[in-house]
Amino acid sequence: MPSAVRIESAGKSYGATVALDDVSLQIEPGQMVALLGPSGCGKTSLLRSIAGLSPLDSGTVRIGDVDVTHLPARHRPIGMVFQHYALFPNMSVAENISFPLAIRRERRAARDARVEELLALIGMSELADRYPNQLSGGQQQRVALARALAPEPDVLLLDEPLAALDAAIRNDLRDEIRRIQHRVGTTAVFVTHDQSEAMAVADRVAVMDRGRILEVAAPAEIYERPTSRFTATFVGSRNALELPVDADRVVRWGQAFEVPAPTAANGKALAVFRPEDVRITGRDGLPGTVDVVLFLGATSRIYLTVDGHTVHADLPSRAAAEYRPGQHVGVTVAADDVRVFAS
Amino acid sequence: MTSRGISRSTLLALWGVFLALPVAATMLYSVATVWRGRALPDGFTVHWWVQTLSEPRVVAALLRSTWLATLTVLIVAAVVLPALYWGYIRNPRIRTTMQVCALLPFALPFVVLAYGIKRLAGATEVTQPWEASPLLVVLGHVALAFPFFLWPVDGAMAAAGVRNLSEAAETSGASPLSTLFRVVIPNIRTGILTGAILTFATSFGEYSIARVITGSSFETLPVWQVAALQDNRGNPNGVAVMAMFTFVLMFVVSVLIARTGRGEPVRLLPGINTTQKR
Amino acid sequence: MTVTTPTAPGPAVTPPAAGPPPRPGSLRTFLTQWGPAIPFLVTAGGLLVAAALWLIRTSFAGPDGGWTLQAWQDIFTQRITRDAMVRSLGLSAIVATFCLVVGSVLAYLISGLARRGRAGAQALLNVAANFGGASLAIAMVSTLGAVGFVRLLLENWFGYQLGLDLYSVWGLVVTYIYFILPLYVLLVLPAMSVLRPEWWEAVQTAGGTRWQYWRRVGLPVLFPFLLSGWVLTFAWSLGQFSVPYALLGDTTTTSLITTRLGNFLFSATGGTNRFERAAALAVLLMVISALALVAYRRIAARMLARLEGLR
Repeated sequence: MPSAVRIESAGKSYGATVALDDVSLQIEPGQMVALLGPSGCGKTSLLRSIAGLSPLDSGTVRIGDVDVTHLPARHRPIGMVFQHYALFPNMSVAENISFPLAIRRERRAARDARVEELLALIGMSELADRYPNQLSGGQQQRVALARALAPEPDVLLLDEPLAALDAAIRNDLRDEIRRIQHRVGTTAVFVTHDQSEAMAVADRVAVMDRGRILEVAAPAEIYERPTSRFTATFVGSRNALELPVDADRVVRWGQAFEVPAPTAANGKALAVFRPEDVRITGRDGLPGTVDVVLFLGATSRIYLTVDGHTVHADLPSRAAAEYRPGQHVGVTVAADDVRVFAS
Repeated sequence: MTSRGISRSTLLALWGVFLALPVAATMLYSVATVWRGRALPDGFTVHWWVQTLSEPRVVAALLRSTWLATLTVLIVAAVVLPALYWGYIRNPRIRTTMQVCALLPFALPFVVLAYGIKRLAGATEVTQPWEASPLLVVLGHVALAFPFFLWPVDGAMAAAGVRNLSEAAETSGASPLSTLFRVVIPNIRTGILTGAILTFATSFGEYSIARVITGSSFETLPVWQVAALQDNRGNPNGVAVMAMFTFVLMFVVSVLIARTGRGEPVRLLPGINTTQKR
Repeated sequence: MTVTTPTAPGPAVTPPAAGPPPRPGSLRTFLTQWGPAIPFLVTAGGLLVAAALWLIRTSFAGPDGGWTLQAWQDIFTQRITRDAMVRSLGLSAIVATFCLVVGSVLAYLISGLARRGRAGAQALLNVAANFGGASLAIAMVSTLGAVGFVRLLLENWFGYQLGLDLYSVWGLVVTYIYFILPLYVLLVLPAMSVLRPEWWEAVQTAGGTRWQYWRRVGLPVLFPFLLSGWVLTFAWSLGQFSVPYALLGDTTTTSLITTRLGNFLFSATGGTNRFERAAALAVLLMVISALALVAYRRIAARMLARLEGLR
């Protein structure tokens, strides 16, 4: 039965370092929430406090109706997947998966049936008797996932599950994790520092920095309309320029764009816009020079020097083909596509 | 401290006491005037220390042991370093062979080897004159103490990435010999130091080989110690002095090892490759 | 020294002037592959192997230079020697088992210490394990001998008469344990780092207790290494000479295989073929130790393979 997870005012410090600073988060049943942020932002601490592996200094954690704040990990209805798989080397794949069930002293027949079911779910039915050292990284992680799901936990916790894998299989496994989570319907929390991963996999993304949650929203929202400066610069590839605030409370970048300044800005503001929103024209707009054109497949990235700043623009490759290094062009950005923050 | 921390400290402390008792006992004996049957000696004196350490026979034994141990270390280093180095950069099978050889001293107890070497030397006319020679003792020590040099140095070479270093040196134009001396050895200094210290300690305290090969003619310190211990007319205090002396020496040695080793687990269990750190 | 790339054995690139080439390719290959290791192979490997072979030959040597089983027969028929064998094996087994049970716990405790503590512990252990036999014997006599420190202490402070006789088998057990326990701990200490903290976390999140962790994951993974430690400790105990000889001297009442060997070597016991008997005992020791070594490698190898490739 998937449950809601509710964290209220969680606080945790290690000596002088604050890992979690009054963090609150609500996760609906069956949802996959990604905790996204750079190292040291507290995402792993938060996950581990849900798991019960690191007790909180203050605040509460509820899973479903139960306050689990003071319960040790083994009494919580959770399943966890670790970055480095943590499969038991002395057990076969089948034994690893049935481990949580063996702990709960379930009958042999029931255990075996469940293991078979899970092996089919991860597509590794023929590998039941292999040992972890005979499996690839991706296979090991799938076994770890099956092991975590075996006791039908209320919440599935994933601690950077793709970070240790080769780039080639990372995307495939990411999709498979998502597919399986959907199919089984378990509430899930996914920790990662990779923003494209977070947005691909999650129903909602919680962006964290320095022990705080900055915003929680659907991936598209986070991407299109970030509400905090940190999110704006962390998520997605961006151009970020520091520009002066004019006397009439407007942030202006030559002929490129003109947007109202945020109320908090004094003197300087940070203007952020996406590469795909940069318009390159022949005449209008702020004058600039093409530095280099990088062919990336379907799109190309053009680096330009405009008004002393380096700007990058993403265009469909066919359109990008017209531009050459050294060429003089004009640059504009629609006002709606520019977000400004206090500097 | 957690309750687990407390019980851990207690257990380790108990063990510490167990280990300290004989050393304390030896210390007391070495400074006791008379010890008649009470828990502690009647009085204390440095007389025994002065007397024993100035006895010519003892000094001679000390010098012999030191000479033996030093020579052993030098030969072991000279023999092991090039071989191990070559094993890293050219022929990995050398390393495997060396590791297997390093297990042989566990299969060949020292006394067995000593006897084997002696008989071997006595078998042919060419080597006959050396049958009871101290140089044979050195050889025996080299054959049996080298694992204690091999293991730390091997660990240090692996940690320093000798292979990569050598390739960098080679592409810069250096010959293998010069690479060994200018690049490799400076980078494995701590391993060499630890290995040298352990080898020295092993050779210094070794009794069986010296006794079996040279009989009592080349009296090293341990040989003297056993003879003195079994000599009913000898004085127990003098014997205790030299034992204490050896303990202090070994303790200093271990402190040195601990400082150079810096807490890395010395890879004494042959074959266990701890490729990842805890 | 010039750097040469190894060439495959076969016809040389520049054929020699005259005569059939004595396969220069393979000799040169051998030298380039093994050259710097030759001094090592000769001293360490060669010496050990040659000595072992010579001992085997001697144990079968007859009075006229032929081959005979006399020495072997003698050592198994002579009661004192037979007793010595049984005593040695028993002593070593007791010591090794004690080390396994107590030492494993101690090693685990030490592995959990912070860096400085661990370094300090290792230093002490190195001291204890490196006690030369002679000094140790002296220390033991000072502690548990007839007028030993601990004995006197117990008598005077607690009124307790220590029944332990240092010169009996149990006295030897205590003595051996003193310096072999640190050796065991040093041997298995690296194995402790094989245990990944994530496994304990995985057990917790799967609902298991500490006991279940040790029973199902921790001990099964560690046991092969502990067992190989047992085997090595057994072999090491068996081969001890200095300590028992220093304590027991040439007496024959409490003999071990090694002291018996010493008897044959140093005193005139054993009759005319005493050197052959000594050789036979030496070979016996070698065989037992070699078997122990093989067992040790086998046991550890399987678990090592399972751990390989788990990052």
